[in-house]
Amino acid sequence: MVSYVIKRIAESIPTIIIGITLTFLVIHLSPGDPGSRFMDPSQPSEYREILQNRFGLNDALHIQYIKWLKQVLFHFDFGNSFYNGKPASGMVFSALRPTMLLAICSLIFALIVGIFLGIIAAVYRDALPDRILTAKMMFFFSTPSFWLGIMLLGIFSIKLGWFPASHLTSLYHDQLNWSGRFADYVHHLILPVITLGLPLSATFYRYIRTGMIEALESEYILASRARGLSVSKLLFHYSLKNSLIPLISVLGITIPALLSGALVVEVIFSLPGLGRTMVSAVFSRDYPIILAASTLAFVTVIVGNLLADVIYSMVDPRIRIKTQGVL
Amino acid sequence: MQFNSPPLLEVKDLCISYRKGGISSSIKGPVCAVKGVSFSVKPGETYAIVGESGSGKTSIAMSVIGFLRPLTGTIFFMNKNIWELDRSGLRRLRSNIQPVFQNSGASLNPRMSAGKIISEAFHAIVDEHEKEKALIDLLRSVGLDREILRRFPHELSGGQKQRLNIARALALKPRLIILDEPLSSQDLSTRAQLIHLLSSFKKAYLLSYILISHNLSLVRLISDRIAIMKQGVFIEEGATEQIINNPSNNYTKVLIEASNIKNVKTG
Amino acid sequence: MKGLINILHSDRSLQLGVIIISVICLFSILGPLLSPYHYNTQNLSESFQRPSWSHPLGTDFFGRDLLTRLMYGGRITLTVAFSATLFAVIIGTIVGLASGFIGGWLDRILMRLVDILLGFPKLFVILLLVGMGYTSLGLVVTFLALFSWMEIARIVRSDVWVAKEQLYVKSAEALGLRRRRIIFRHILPNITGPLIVSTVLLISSLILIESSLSFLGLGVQPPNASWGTILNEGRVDPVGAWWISVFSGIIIVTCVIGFNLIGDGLRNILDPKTGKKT
Repeated sequence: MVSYVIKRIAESIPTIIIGITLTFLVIHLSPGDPGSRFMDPSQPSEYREILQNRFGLNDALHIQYIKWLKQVLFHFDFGNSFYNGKPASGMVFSALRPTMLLAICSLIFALIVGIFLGIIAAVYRDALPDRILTAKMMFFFSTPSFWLGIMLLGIFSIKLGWFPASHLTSLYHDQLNWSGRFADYVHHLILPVITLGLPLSATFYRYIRTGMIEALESEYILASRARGLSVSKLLFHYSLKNSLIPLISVLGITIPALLSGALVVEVIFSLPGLGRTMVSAVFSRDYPIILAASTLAFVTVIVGNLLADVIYSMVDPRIRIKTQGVL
Repeated sequence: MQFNSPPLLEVKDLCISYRKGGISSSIKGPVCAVKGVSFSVKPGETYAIVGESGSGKTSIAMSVIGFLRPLTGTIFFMNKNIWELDRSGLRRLRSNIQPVFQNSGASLNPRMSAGKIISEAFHAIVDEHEKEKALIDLLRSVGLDREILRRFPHELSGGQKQRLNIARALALKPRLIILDEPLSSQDLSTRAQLIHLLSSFKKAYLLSYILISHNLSLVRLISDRIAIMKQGVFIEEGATEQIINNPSNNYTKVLIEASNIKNVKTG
Repeated sequence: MKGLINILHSDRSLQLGVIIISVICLFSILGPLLSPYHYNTQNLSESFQRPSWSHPLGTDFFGRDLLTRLMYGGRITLTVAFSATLFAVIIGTIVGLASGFIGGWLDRILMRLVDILLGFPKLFVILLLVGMGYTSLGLVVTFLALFSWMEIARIVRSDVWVAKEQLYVKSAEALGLRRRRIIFRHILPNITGPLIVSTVLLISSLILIESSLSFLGLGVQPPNASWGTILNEGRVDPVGAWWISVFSGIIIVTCVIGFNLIGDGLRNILDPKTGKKT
């Protein structure tokens, strides 16, 4: 197991290097330069030179790249933000926390909802509950989170005023005791988590429903039913266990999607997360921030994938051999 | 039969292994399906390999057609080592060895009509008229009606499908046809017809067959020599009558008893 | 044609999906021709009007008729989604065929590439590309395609893997047919089923991605407008001018549901085991 994890980590390093190199190239080869963006057009062009020099944008591209990569690899230094001069790595890391909070809560929410409803649908297969759930889930599966988010925001925050419309915490958050802080988080996170989690739960729902139906119809389940095992035991112990395995394999694919979804949700609910940082950095051409944010996004996805694979291979040892064969 | 002529196919010390699951297989070591098998087939001869399923007979067939690279050993066909040929060389040689598989349905592309399937086999003939004529002749010789050309495989009976497979194999005028359990999924009357068909072609075209089967009673009707295979090795080999009437190996005796040959009068 | 109608009748969700998508296509193609308004003519005196007889879905900040804009938006959204899907399917099929049929080192390299690209959070990457100034419609389509072909390639590869071992392919190989012929006449026609299903599902996921991009203000740029762009315009005031976000959202959801229904229906027909009972 340990050697497997080490192998996977070693394999992911080229992915990260390729990813950040491409990001670097895209940014530096794109039309327009940050210098002119920060400059009053009426100023003499020497100012532009000074600015460019200060940002280190006047060197040849490969020199810039090597300098940058050295700093990143050996000092974990992505440079300072063009805007406020703070270190990019620090800014991005503090943005990662809300994103992780949002993503993990949404994942848990989606898993609970998806598994629970999937079981119900499978048990009442083709009966009314199944048909209603399947139609509902088709709706959520097809609903873009940005629309769901705006609708929830419009109805529950702006119109009814039940939930805050932006930010992760209230202004007076620091003055609260720990239970108050927790409640404050929950209050702020409910709408974003539903927004991100509901469409995702539809995906899980489908897997669980199909898996459970297959498991419930399989011969060994029918045989154990004939032997008189209780239905609830069958349901949870045998069928669910078997239908969870494919679900774990989707988790790996879900993680990049989760991060992309979090980006949109953070923009809608003005959460100070990685996605929102990325979007505003892209709009303002804050190169160090863009690079740090996308690097962190790649790393997060890879670590997430790795975790999913490790869990997967722990649950089902047959798979470990298979994935190794494929890679 | 030309017993003095040089062999058409010569297989020496053939070992075939399946590697399972890529990299991780090295831990378990290769699974050997065939362990050191040697035999030869002369022009016009029918050579049967008999054994239970999993004994490795199909692996030999796949290796001889060039689908399964052997671990060690050589396969000489028409004096060429087929596993030393490059891709185009192998492709040219292939027209001389044709397979007919057990599952007649699976060997026909479900999305192609019978006519397309068979005319594809005549890819060497460019002239359309000539192709048409050869096609009609071939169909007649395997006893298929022209009318089936428009049909798709799922619209054909099992016997028709297998005739189509045989026709396709014959189209290239091969020297050797490998019959992998060609009759075991057919009903009895179709079997008899197909056996008759196969033996008539053998005489007409001086064809050689490698007949792979688990059924000794079927094999003895058309084969000249028989090899008995068990767990990847040939345990007995000899002329048909010798094997049937005078088996030296216990396993062969079991097979003979199982196929009830003693009760059937030789015709 | 008769076969097509039979297929349509055999599955309810397929039927429903085809109806939805046909209506949306007609709405987008013919609608603008029948509308008395132009999608981009501003009329500030009619700014933010509620739905009424003259403007069935209301107007936006610039007084433009929302219904007309949604019709035009449909043209853009569907064009972007269809053309990106087409590119992605072409790339994915070629890669999948090459990887599956030729195998060996080529397969290892291509699948490694697929793994790497699948690991990228799509929206981050496309956002970055578009945000860096590559905003023309053609480039947006290209970026969408470049980051969406991987699933298709995987599906094609594994199907080729299965098809390659089929006896009819072995028989064709034994006939000494050329590789190209075997791939295009024997393998490709037999894997089209799953390919069509994933193509339809890809259309719906690309509509969602394009809408997200445009929603963030980075996809389709004004004066062009896709459904996502219009939804973004509604974000200014989701309560006061609710009709903009509600209606543009509804049409996106309906369209995506339509494609998903078609995809599900086709999958049920091709593989009745995984779907609902018929």
